[in-house]
Amino acid sequence: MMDLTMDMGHRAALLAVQAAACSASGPPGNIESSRWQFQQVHSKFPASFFGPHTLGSRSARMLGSAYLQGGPGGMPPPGQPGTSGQQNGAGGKDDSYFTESRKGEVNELRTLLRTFGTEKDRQRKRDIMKKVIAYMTLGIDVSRLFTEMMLAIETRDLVIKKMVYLFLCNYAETHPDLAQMCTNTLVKDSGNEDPMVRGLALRALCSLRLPQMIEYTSEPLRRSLQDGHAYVRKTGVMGILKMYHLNREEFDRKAFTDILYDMLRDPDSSVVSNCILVLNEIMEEEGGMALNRAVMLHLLNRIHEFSEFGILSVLDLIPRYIPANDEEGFQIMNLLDPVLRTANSSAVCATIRAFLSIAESIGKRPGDDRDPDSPTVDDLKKQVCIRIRAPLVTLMSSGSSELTYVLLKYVDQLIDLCPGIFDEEYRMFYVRFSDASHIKHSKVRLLAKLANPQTAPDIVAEMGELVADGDETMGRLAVRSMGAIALHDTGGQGCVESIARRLVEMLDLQVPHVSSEAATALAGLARRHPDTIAVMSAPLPRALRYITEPQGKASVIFLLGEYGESIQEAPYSLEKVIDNYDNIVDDGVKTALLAATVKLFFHRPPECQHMLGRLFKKATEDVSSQDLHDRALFYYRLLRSSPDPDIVKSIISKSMTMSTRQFAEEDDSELKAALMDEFNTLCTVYRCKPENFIEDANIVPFVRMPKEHPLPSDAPLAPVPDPGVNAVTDQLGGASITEQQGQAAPPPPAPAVTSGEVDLLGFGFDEPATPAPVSSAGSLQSLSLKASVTLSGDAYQSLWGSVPDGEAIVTPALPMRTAPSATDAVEASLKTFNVFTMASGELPTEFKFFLYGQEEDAFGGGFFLIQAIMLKAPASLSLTIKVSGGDPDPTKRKEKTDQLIELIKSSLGQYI
Amino acid sequence: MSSVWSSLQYLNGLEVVTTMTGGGRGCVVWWSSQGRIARKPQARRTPAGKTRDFGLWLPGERRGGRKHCSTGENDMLSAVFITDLSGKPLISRNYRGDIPLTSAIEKFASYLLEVDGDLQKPVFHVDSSGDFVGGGDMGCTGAGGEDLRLRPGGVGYPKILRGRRPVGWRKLIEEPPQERPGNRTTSGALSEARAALDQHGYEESFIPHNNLYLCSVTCKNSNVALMLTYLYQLTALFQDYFTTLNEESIRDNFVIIYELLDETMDHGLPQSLDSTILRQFITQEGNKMADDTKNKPPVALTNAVSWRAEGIKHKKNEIFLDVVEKLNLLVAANGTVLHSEINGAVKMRSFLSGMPELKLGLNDKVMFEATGKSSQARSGKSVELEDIKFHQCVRLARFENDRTISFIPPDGEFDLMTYRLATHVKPLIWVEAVVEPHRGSRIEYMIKTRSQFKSRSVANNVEISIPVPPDVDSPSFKSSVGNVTYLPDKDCVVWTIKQFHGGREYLMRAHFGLPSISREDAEGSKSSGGGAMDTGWKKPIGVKFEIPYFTVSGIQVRYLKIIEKSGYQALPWVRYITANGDYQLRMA
Repeated sequence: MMDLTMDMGHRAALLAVQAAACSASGPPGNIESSRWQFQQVHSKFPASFFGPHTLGSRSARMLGSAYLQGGPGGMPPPGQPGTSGQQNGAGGKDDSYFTESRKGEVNELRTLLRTFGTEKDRQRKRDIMKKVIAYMTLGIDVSRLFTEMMLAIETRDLVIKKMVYLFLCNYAETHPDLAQMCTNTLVKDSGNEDPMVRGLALRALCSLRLPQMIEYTSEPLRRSLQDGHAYVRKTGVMGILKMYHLNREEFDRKAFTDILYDMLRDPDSSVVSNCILVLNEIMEEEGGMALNRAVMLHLLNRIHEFSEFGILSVLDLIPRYIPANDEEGFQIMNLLDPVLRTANSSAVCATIRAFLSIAESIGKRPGDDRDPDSPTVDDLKKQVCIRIRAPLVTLMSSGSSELTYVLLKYVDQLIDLCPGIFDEEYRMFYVRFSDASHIKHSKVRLLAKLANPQTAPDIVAEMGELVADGDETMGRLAVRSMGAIALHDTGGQGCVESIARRLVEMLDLQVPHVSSEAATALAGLARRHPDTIAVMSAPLPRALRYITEPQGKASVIFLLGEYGESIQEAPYSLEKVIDNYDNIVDDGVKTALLAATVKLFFHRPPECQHMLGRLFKKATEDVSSQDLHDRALFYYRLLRSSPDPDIVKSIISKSMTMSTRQFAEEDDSELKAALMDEFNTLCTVYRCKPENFIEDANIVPFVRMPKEHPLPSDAPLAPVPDPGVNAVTDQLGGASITEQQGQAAPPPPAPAVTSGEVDLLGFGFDEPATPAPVSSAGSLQSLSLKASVTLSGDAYQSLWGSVPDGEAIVTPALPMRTAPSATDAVEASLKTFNVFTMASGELPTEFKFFLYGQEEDAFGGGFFLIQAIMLKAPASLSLTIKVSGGDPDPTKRKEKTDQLIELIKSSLGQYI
Repeated sequence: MSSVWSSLQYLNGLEVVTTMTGGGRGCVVWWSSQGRIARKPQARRTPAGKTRDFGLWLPGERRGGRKHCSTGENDMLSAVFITDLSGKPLISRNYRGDIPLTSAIEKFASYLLEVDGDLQKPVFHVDSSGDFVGGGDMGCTGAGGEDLRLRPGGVGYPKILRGRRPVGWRKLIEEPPQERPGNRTTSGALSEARAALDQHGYEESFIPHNNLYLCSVTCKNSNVALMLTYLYQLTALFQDYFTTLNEESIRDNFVIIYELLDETMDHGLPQSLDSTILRQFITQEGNKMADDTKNKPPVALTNAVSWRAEGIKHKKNEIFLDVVEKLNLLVAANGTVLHSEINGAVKMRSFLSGMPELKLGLNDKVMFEATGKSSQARSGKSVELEDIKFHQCVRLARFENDRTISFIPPDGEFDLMTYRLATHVKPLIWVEAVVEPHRGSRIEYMIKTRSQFKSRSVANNVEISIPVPPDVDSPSFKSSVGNVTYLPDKDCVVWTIKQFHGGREYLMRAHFGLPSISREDAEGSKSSGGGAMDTGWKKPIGVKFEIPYFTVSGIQVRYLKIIEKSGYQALPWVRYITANGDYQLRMA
């Protein structure tokens, strides 16, 4: 051990030296030996990560050196003289670094950190910090540096800040007291002017996982939800979830869920998708986010805005939503159809699930007293399967092996749902030599399901090739799959017989597992198709001699007993086995032997009488299996005590021919149905229900939207508040879901940031307060703007600056029919409504306007400052409004702002 | 990719297509209760009779909702970690703290160690006692009959490690944290929670990449496709950042990896994985806070063009198109083509300034039909693409309407679209092998190869690998062209032909000595079946090749229109290449 220690030190030095291309320390032979030991150490001390336990092994330090030397911004090479004595970090100046105690290393870091404040060079500061994080990554407990790290949090360098935050999050759990001390800084940072810092600080604050932190966190969290920047809002939404997991009892669920529902209207799609995800989890017990038609349609109409992963959150809601009518169901499907063209496989899979669930909801069921022509659930599901076949096959052929494995499972399940849909693609599932074993196995099992009269000959031929595969499991599966095709009789005319012939050939292949499997398959086949016995009778006695595997042997014995009448040698073959009884190990074989011999006795009594007697003696004396013993006694007593042999014969010689296509144990239709509800989850891959592998606590109940729509059906359906509803133009936009009832223009959106009192789901549609769209400024009651206002550029800027961003009102993007061609026209039309332009400009993708107007009012005339951005493609308008001065009553101010928005909208009527 | 850009087709000013007539003919409605389902331009692929006409369903009474007693779904991961090939962790991030990460990593390592490489499934379950359970497949062990039996009805699934539980693994679980005075309640609750955690089973899924494994863990019934897709995209993202992703680059960049792990996933829920966006605020150099205006989190997230930043400037406005087709082929031993398929991709490298609006025209049959150019469609110069997938920048609605591919490209490299054709393709390079084994003394191969494409095309770097038995010795080769080498470690002979012109045929003979006692004989009667079970013989012949200026599907870029506000002239370049995909010919 002593030697090893020394050597390790040496080795580390060498490692360092290698990196610096300096070859001063030690003979080359030493390098070799130490390298070997290096590997040994690796396997001896698996480095573990994070968490309160520490890893003090040398291996960690070894690795540490690798981490610390690596980066471009890593430590200077050891050959280079350090500027101070504290510089001898990982690639230190001599061996002493590694012979020091671990405490020493951390202490050294601490001294380094103490110089942090005085250190001027940014790069060096980062290096120090990086070293701490590297140690942490290796699982060395650096939590003692907590105090020093906290001091470093005051920095303007984002990279350092992130590292400190990471450190905090990792060790907060073990140092709750200290972590509490840094909350102030974090809270302060969450009000930083830089949205990035605000977001990061908030994320760190919420990730501390300290229950006592809730009181400090709530305030910044609430503030973040109204932040002007989407990044902060998005992080804030996630923060809510973290708070919820931290302390479910004290979590102010009502308040937060209300805010979240309100934020579903956020202009930023990533905020919206986070809202959905968070709501789903917070309301887990209810099965997830509450849904109604308005919410669903609102989200669906915006689906083109979501990122590839964000779209998943919306898609996952669909199975829980019941479309209002068939038409709507079809519209949703049309809307989602383009998602099948995205390259993201998880989005495609989620779409499949959504489609299937819609088919389930809108299809006609048996017993439904609907129009006889409307499509049934099965029809629709079949349509769905046909539609998704090509995308699924593409994903499978272009995806990598892991994804293919999962997709094969999905295909398997879809075939169960709609037998026959993948039949035409059967060549896709031919086994490639380069496939991983588990993929090969899945493919072979699938191939058996794809057999129809057209494809069966090819598939059976392919299986024949695979039987001889070097992989034993593969061979077994191939034989079994062939058996399954014959058993289920899917191969059409003559297929059963040709398979039977192939299987018989395999009996003679003399490959133990193949012939055993073939025998088992033949036993099943004979029961299903008794006429095939003619094909197999000849080789059976011979097969009995060389089949060694118990299952195959038992199958042959069963066949000999069952069809012994027609097989001349049957009794003699069995006799040999009986004579060899003592060498049989497997109970199954013995039981089969007993049953077969008794049966054969009734067909060919003279030949069997003696051997049966011997078998009874052996079996009743056999104590290895209670079952066997009892059976033997049963048969014996039955034969001995029965007055009428014919009765016994009728009992024993009952034909085993089966009339159904399936064995009872293969019938898993119940499971299949259950799995269908779990499509695209782990259940599909494991092929078992979630309760079999997921902890009860982690199972999310599936709750569909209530049968009755929360919206009364006779009441005029309120349209979705988002004015974007009918004007979706972008990626997925072609189709959009429209109201059937022919409603008036949608009410203007209430700005998302004003979330004082919230109506849980209705988004306030039911409130009559929705102002009617205004056609001219004249109809405005309380808002009138001065016809001539003068405001200098500087005054404008100072006014704009005087109103904090948090108070600004931001409207969601408002779609426009066309974008204006130039700014002049817009300015002119605004001017007629007394809204003036301070500055305007054209950017490649948008127009920007800085507008203002002054109120004619008793309150000294408040200024409205408006920043309007018109995107050119897709044409949309978003406004940021600040109110300076004017009515002190916030509700009135809000009212007026709303009116102003209307005013602007109506003045731009030619575009909107 | 041996071709050079200098010899490219210059595409500007090629045929400019008259404006599309968007109207009713090309309009896509395939889901409708208005009497038509599956009315799509491609509808003819649906066999007649399967398309049923359904009358309009009139809204009637609402029927009762079916009772569902299943679970909801989760788009959630608990943790992500990266290990080296032996399962030793390099970096990890525990997003939720609801699984014991340390033991999850250890379990992963032991999974790699204890489950046969070939049987490792990309998704597996670790139950509360620490046993691995694979998917409900038969044949987890590959051992005797019992484990192979179908387990119906959700009773369970075969255990891989029956009776082989690693001894003492429980000791490796994190020790409960020490009680800290003054914090008894918190800490106590924590340790209780931790104890409870240890009882839980969890699911792991992993993908290999270079010398690494990327692994995600969850304890819920998560969306598997998501778990894997996230890992793939994470890999792509890291590659985008560090060029290559391997052990070294992880060690070198661990700080930035932490940043990326945090930015791509928050609390186990995926966020943005778009490298063009992330690159704006996570850079290799790092940013100084509030120093420059660039250091703002991307506003791009909110606008319609999230994948492209504003104000991009290039000195020379150019765009490069690569149409790459890979041919997957499987030929049976008797020479019939079992399966052939073309996987194509249009890759782009865009160096365009501003916000360019691009329109790509292909000789797409469906588009020709939709726009009424059926003469072109019939003339055979068009291609029917079976399934197309697009980069998110392409306006899908537009495509559905009139098959126009219009988009604002991201800057730099990306895959604009991928497509698949399952047409019957004549093998471009045909290989025939005649093997004459003389047991105990020698084995002779005669390989004939033929190029079955037009003679003006040339296949570059053709590599034909022919499997040979593992115990051959003293190789000798004779070939009319190219080099032949024997690779003992792969048990194959590789015949390399640098340039293979179309319509040629070449011959190669190989001769090997065989030991007088074959390996099976030496190993005794284990495989009494003899030669049939020799795996070496079952290996297929593999072929690698690249044919520039040629697409096997016949797809062509007809035009690429670039429209930008500033009206600059941009140069689009295009090149075509056909390469081998999974190209296998089984040996007799």
